Amino acid sequence: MRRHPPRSPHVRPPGARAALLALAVAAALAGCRPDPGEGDPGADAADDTPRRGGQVVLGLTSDLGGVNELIVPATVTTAEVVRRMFLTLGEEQPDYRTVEPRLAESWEYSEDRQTITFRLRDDVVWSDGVPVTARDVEFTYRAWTDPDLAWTGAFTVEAVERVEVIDERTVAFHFSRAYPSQLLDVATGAVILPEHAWGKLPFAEWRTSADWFRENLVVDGPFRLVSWTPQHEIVLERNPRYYEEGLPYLDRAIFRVVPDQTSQLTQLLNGELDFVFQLSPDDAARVEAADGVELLTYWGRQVIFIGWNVAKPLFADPRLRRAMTYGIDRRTLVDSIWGPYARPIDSPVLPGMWPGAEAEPLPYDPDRARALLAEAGWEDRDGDGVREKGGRELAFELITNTGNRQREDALVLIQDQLRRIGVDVEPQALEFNTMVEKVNGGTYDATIAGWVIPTTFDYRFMYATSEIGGTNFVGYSDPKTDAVLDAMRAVPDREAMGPYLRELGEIQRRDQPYTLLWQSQRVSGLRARVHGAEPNHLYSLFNLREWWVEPAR
Amino acid sequence: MGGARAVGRGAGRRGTGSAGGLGGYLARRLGASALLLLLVLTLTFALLHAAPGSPADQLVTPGPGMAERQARLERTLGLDRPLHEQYAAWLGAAARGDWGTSLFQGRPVSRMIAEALPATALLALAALFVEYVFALALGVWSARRRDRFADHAIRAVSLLLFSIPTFWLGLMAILVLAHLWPVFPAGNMTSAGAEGWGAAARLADLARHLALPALVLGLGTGGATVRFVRDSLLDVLGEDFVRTARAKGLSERRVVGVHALRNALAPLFQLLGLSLPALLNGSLVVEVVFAWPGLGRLIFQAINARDLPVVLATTAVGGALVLGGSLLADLLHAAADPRVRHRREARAGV
Repeated sequence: MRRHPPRSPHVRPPGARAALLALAVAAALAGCRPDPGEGDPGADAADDTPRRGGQVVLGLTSDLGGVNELIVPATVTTAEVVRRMFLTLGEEQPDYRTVEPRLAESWEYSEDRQTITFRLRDDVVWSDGVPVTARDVEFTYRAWTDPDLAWTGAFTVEAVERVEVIDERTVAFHFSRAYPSQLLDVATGAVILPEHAWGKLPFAEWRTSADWFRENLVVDGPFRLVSWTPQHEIVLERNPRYYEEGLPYLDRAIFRVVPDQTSQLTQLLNGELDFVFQLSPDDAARVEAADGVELLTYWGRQVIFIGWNVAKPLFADPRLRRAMTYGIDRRTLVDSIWGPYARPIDSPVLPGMWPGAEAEPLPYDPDRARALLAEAGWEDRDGDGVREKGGRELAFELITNTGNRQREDALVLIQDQLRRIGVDVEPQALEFNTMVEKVNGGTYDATIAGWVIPTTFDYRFMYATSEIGGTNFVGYSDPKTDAVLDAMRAVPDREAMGPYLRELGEIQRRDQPYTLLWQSQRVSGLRARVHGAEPNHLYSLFNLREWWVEPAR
Repeated sequence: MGGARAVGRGAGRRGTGSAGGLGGYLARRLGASALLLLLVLTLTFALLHAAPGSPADQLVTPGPGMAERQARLERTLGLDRPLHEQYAAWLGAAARGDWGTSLFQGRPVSRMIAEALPATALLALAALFVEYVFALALGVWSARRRDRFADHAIRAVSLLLFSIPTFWLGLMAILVLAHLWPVFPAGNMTSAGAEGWGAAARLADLARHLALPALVLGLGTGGATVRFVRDSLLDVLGEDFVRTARAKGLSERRVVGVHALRNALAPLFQLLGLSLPALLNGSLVVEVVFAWPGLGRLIFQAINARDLPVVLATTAVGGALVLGGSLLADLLHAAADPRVRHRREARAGV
């Protein structure tokens, strides 16, 4: 994560704030940045000792779905808030490799790696004082797999055959086969639920009883829920029974639902909000220049790409798809849309995810693109600037969803770039649901869309024949690729996935069912009085329990 | 649905011609309103299903086997049944008072609406107050300075307010009054942590948060009302009784403020009823811009997510409010204006 320190010292005469803000806004409106010369950037490094107490106010664009993550859609907000209240067996780390002990103090694999046995801590209690035991884990597993409850994430634990309570503190997960993300799926995939409290309600009634869970809420995480006013505010306070000595530092974390991004920005600059999850890249400079606010940037796992509808004859030829990628100047595209907050990518295995799996980039090479197109039979014989083949023009519709500035900008830039290699692109931005229907129905030509790459490295959703009609909406199908994907799922040890990930990068490079465009950073804004925040691609509030604030002045 | 019974009763009374008067009028109006509401709901239902996208698209976690999981979920939620069956089931349950459960939150829809309604009602009332104080003040002033500079200026301003998108007006209000000159908070209904304060402090806090959204919503809808008040007053000022009042030597203040204004206000009641749809419409936008936790936000979110039970129920509530408002306005108008009352009584007596 990169941290951009505030430009001005913390202590300033009262009343100067409004003037400075006014200046910043006026400057931003005028399209220029204020002179960064003033102030002493080292002034806030004075005291690094965390302090207990105080509160932070965090801005959400959407409301919490509910306190029971099994019965509501898996939104970012729900995950961020629920995971501050409940523990998982282990805690996935942002390095894509390690899992740290949490509720479980240790675990071990059986020889055949088909069993993982967890040893639970003995000092974790629910907020009503009842100890967290192996029974809670077993209960949680039953909830995950109950057909009436119908948890939408149940597919992630399909390979678990049964969960065995060995004693109060020991619990074993038995799998039907060994695979690389076994530990992630059961130890970090979902939180452990309180059997003594929530076991009273039959699973069949869970989906329609969201309020019941709130009324019968006990937690074992660092924070507990004080109040939740729908569409307005969620108040968490430190859980005094939390097991980590001295944590969390904060007394309170108050989440406020502010749906409009511009309003969020204003509230951050005004000091009404201490933290904003996602700023638009256009606003980043303004926040960086503002007084008392800092910018936090960190790489996310979302890839944005052009998906070519491979099922259509037009895009069936990999040479044509490669030509498109050669014909798009992704560096310029990304720079002009994102500035420093994104980078072009060439493999679905994103930079930093797996050292050694990086694919060699396909450069911007319009000549190469033209040659490939000619080789595939596409030539401009009638001299109208657009290539044809067998009476058909090389023209298609490129769609994306409205409401996403970056993608809409990309539409137009790509249209312009591809025109230079004799391709006629008709860009179209559609309402989100309309686009989804078109894409899922397979009636589109090409689409700018995005996926979040799962840390399980299970890439079947993008490339496997079995996922056509579902997530593999480009319709890519290749037996050799399927074999690689299956083989990767069969290696027992995560560490042994490297060669397969490299091979997948090669397949993507060769076949280009997707032209990968960019990976962007999350750009969060934080008031400078808040310290210790270390957001990452897993959770922006990953270590909220270690955040602390300077005392109010 | 209660409304369906009212239709039958209303028709019956008219048939026998026995009830007449206000009772018969009310029954007829209620019946017509219920029919209209049913029509709106049917249309909403049909449109929601004709629009692309299914709730299952957004409920299912992307990953292996998504198509199959989606289909299974649609079966679980009953979304694979024929449309008329789904609609009949919803209508039947709604008539029994069961508005179902949100597909996305697993909460009773009636409770979600009950939580959101007070915030919207508060905002709408405050906005209505702003709208009418603003419209009366400027409208009267404008009428009294007819064709002079103030009149032209006020008419220009009201036209401007009428044409400015509420969204933009809201953002500008935030920029100027919450940011450049921070007198008001930029959004939300209360300050963070206000729930621990004393009653007086909380009330003041609520008022501070209410000010900007109410101002924006009130002024946004008030532009047209200014012109209405002005024109209505000018009409009345030309009438004989005003000349009589002036001839009696009453002060201009009394002539305009008491005699003319009272008569000019009667049609305003009707406008009040028509203001309600505009206010509800505007609150959709204002609530999003100002993070105001009301019905508009609920509708907005439910439509985007295709949360069918919530969309249908909020449409029903919004529709009932609008129809009820227009009915109330007509009754008030009748009460205030003897001519309307008499006409109606004459008709009812036939």
